[in-house]
Amino acid sequence: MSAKPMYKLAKLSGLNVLRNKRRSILTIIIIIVSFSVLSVFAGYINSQRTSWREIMIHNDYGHIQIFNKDYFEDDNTSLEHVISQAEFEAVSDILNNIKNIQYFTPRLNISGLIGNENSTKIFIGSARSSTEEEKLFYFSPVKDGEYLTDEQPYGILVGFKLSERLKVNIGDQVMIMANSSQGSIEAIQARIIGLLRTYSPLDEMAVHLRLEDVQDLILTKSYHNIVLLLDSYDSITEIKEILELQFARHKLPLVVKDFEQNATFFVQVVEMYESYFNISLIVLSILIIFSLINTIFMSITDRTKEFSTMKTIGINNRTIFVSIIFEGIFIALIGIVFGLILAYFLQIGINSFNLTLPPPPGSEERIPFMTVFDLLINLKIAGFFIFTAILASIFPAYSVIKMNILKGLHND
Amino acid sequence: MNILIKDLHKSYQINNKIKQIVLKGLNLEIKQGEFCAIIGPSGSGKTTLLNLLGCIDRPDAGRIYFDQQEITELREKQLIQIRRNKIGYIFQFFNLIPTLTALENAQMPFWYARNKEHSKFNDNLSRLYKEIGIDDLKSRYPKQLSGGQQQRVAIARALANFPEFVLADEPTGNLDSVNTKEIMELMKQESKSLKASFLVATHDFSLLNYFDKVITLKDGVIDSISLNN
Repeated sequence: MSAKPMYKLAKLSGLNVLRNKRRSILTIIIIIVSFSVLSVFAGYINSQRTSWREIMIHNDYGHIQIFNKDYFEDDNTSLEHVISQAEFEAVSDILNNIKNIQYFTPRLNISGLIGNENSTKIFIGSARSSTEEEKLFYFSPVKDGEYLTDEQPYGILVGFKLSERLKVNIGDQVMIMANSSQGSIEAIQARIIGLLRTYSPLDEMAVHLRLEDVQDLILTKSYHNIVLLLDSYDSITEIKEILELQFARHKLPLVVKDFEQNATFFVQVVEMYESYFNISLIVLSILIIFSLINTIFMSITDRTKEFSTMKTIGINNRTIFVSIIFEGIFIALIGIVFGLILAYFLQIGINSFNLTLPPPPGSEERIPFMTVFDLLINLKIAGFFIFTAILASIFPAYSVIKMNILKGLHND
Repeated sequence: MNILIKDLHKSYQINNKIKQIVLKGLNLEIKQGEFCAIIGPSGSGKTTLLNLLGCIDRPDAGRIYFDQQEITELREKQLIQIRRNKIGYIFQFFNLIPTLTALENAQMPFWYARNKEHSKFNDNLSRLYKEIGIDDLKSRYPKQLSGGQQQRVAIARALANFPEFVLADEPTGNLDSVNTKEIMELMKQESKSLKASFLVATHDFSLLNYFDKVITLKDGVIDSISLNN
């Protein structure tokens, strides 16, 4: 079909939609509301995904982490498969020459016992450089006190719930015991300089320690992983590829994992949100399908004589079919355009009112209800709605094709 | 186009029980360029015959030939081609598409014609609009036109693609006497100019003088055929 008749057909369909204003309006309103709801929902997911992703990247995960290639075969505190000092230095040379890398830092995992004269508890520790607070963190995980500092050797931070369980506070001395790389049990006397809040069950077991202190304690110069902060999230794929190439070239037995590979819980939460979104999309699409079928059916019932006339004068079934499909698309397009406008201003409104949602379990702070308007997501919703409209128009269009010409001609 | 009808039968089922026989072995010939009327009481089968000849219904038995081509056994796709390329249809109630302008209504049947044919049809349409006297009404919508003007547009639509056979079902049934006279003269004139055969169903005996041939139907068969000099 060439452009000219297509344009005329589109015009005919458009005018038919406008001709049945009252009938079309109800469906258009349903599409506007559905579109706006989905757009705001998508904007909320987008906002949550982006903000939580950045918080997690900057407070713990980094954009990329480097591990010994066999690291994941053992538990994460095993000293079997670690990054040696020599490997770390080789990696550092590579990382220092990549301009998209803003910061990198090694870490060491540790677990053992923490206690004082009153009680002893199991802890899960992370040995870190004191520079992380300045270079990595968006929001400090420190609830009270201060973060690790080289000025306070053997200064540690404990999860605020762990401090409650141990009945200790900032300034108190605690004993830390762990298995060394030699198999012996070693202990150090540490002083609590801060309390951590991780917004997770780890608050009952988490301990942050200085990297050097832990290396002394467990008699190793190795690391479990190296955390990289890049200039942006979009650089991950490129940098990951470069690192994999470099490690292969230098025969370094290391693997590179990106944020989504490390933060599996985050990915699962995002997928859960996205499945809610998809379910909403399907439910609203079904609503639109039924509404559109009803609107178009009522419209074509009124116009059976017109369709019969068109068939009588030699207009083929395909043309009539396409004209009805166009009507569905027109209704959807009108709804989408107004829905897009409404969604845009709705999201501006939501963001300017500083609305909040109830706090998640284990937290007392309400979550800000923010949305990020993403044109691409809105275009995807629009595309899905147009597909829905086409789907909804097929059945009425098919019934017109099958309609008896004579019955239609005598229908007033 | 020469039209030949042989032993045409058509019946309709009413309420799935009663079978109403409308045409009972009708035979008829219409020669190229003939301007024919078909008359007869209600229920005599005029509209049924027009529907069968217009390829919008199929007979129970019998044959219809357009020139040498037998059309009763053709597939729907081929019938659409015939309806579009060879037949013009004029309705009593004009049957214009209300969302299209007068010009678009007449252009619609050849929206999908090839470019060369398109310009040929458009030229013919321009001529028709001038001759019919609706050239200044092209951009108006049907509701902005009088009954006579609407029927003129419908005639232009029926004749735009040089039909060889034009069927008109009570084309003046909804018009006043002045418009009736004008429409009849117009159809007669176009019949000559296009050399198209016309078959016009009418109840109005005062119009019979316009026709070359008057066919009277009675009880589903031809009762008489009279020729006007």
